[in-house]
Amino acid sequence: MEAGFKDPGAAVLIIGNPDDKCLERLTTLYRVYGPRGLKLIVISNSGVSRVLESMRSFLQKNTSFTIELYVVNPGDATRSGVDKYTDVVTCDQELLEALPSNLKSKVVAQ
Amino acid sequence: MKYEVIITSDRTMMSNHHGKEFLGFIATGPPIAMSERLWLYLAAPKPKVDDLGRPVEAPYGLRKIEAVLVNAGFNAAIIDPDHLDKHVDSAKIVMIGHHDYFAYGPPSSEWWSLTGLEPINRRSFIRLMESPAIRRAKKNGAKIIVGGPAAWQWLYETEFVEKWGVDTIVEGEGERVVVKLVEKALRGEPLPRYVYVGVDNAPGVNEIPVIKGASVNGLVEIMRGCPRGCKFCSVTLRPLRFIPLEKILAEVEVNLRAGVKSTILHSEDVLLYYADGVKPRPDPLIKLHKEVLERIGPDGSVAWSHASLAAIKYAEENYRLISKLMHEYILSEHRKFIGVEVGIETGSPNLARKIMVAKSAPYPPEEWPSIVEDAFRIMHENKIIPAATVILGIPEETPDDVVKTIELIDRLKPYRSIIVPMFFVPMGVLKNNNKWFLRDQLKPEHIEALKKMYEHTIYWAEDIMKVYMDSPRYLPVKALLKYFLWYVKYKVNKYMVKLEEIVKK
Repeated sequence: MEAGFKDPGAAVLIIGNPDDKCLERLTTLYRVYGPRGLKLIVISNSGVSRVLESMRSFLQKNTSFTIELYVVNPGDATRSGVDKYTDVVTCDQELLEALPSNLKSKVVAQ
Repeated sequence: MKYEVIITSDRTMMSNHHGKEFLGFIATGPPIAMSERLWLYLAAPKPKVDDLGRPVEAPYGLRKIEAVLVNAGFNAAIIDPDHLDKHVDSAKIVMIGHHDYFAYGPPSSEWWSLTGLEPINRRSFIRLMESPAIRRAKKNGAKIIVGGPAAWQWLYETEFVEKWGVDTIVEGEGERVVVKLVEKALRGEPLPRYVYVGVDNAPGVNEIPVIKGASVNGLVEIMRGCPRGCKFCSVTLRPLRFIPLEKILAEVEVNLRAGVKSTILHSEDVLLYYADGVKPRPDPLIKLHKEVLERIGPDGSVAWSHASLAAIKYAEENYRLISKLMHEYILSEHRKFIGVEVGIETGSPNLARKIMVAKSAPYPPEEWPSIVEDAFRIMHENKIIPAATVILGIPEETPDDVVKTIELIDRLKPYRSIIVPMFFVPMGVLKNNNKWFLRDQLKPEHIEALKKMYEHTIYWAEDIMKVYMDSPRYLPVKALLKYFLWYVKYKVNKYMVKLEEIVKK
């Protein structure tokens, strides 16, 4: 009887605060993976408020699929709890360079 | 008793509004002609609470979350905002729900825009979040999770998310997701900042629990979702589910046990309960009313939260169902009328076709104005008092559309009702449109429409007040409302001139 919450089936790592170009890419990924549910992990050092602000138009377009959005500091990037990312969107090259090496190698391998 | 999860909201939500749901809408405006304290008393008096600060009646959405968590084995309860300090030292999670956190929804945004004054619901919510109790909870490390129908508004107030330390915003139906979030929070795992609950995570009928305590004014959900697909509405994005009669009756019993003798049957379209598509069916509706009314007795009040005008017309013209329900079941010595919210939205068939093509179904949108008129006549004849909404500033609206709305309102004059203008707010599939309709965008035809709606409502207001509040216990509230109406009448002409000047500029 109890179906419980269906966790999102796709995880996308977003490095940096998304700008318009990144959101465009994210929209493409949404079209592809949205039906599976999306877990978005944004690594940013600009604060939750700014990330939500940048993501607002993207989040508002969604009226169908489950989306979970996590915002983490670069220092906590390895604590996202995700083993494998379905895709990576790099919005901040400098931040990518500054990521812990184990995460960076995962990203580069994508 | 210590709770690990406390569920709350601000005063404008945590109130039974003197037992009159409609008075709650007063909190969507700023205080006019009286102090904020008096205004708040009028809209949202404090509810009865027990020793732990648990309200006897609480908002239905919060009751559902409470029931899900209790059923899942968590120690959770709804706490009145004035009694949070009794629990914030033990609470690990504070969950907050609201219909209109920041007054961006209709009609708050409209009163705000027209008067330039911040509505009470927003002021009251900000006060709650800045209260010593909430600050202490946060300082103690409690997680704050916010949700409800107005969750979308947090995306426009992201600084408050940071300032108040809101951990998670939940948009959509909460039944499935809250258990996961509470488990994560209690285990100390990172929480998502934002969750949109998609259609795949909408709870099935079996997962929607029976409430554990009474709901405000006995509100009981009979359906969830709506098949009509109006573009400006968010409810229509949810799948349609009918709540089985035994669950509805179980909730009526919960309310009765708490001493709440009224029942508000809640649905976006009450007459579509177990309908054949958009065509009402007599049997399920008669059974529903018969069973509910048997339980609440002849002196308990009953109301429909919402009904569609097309369904009212269809039900009456095909089965004389409205007359039957009202005269054979609902009306009694103590129940002299029922109230219901209905949506006119526009008087223009062209605009109806563009934004709410199925609202007129099973009739074509071309017939929309006559459907509205027929439904108003049927309601008037059967002692149903509608509170109707009209949306101004819908995207793609033309001056001719507004003129058609004005003409329709004129034709509704003989029918006992109130008609409330709503400025367009981007919601539903139009939520990314971002084009709030505000005072600066008013055109002469909008002013004329506002005037017509004002005149219609004032014409019927005193008559409605007589039947709506006929008990002597309402005398103080009635006196305040009469004073407010007098003040509005006194001021409105000057204000309309001011609006016309703004439009000219």
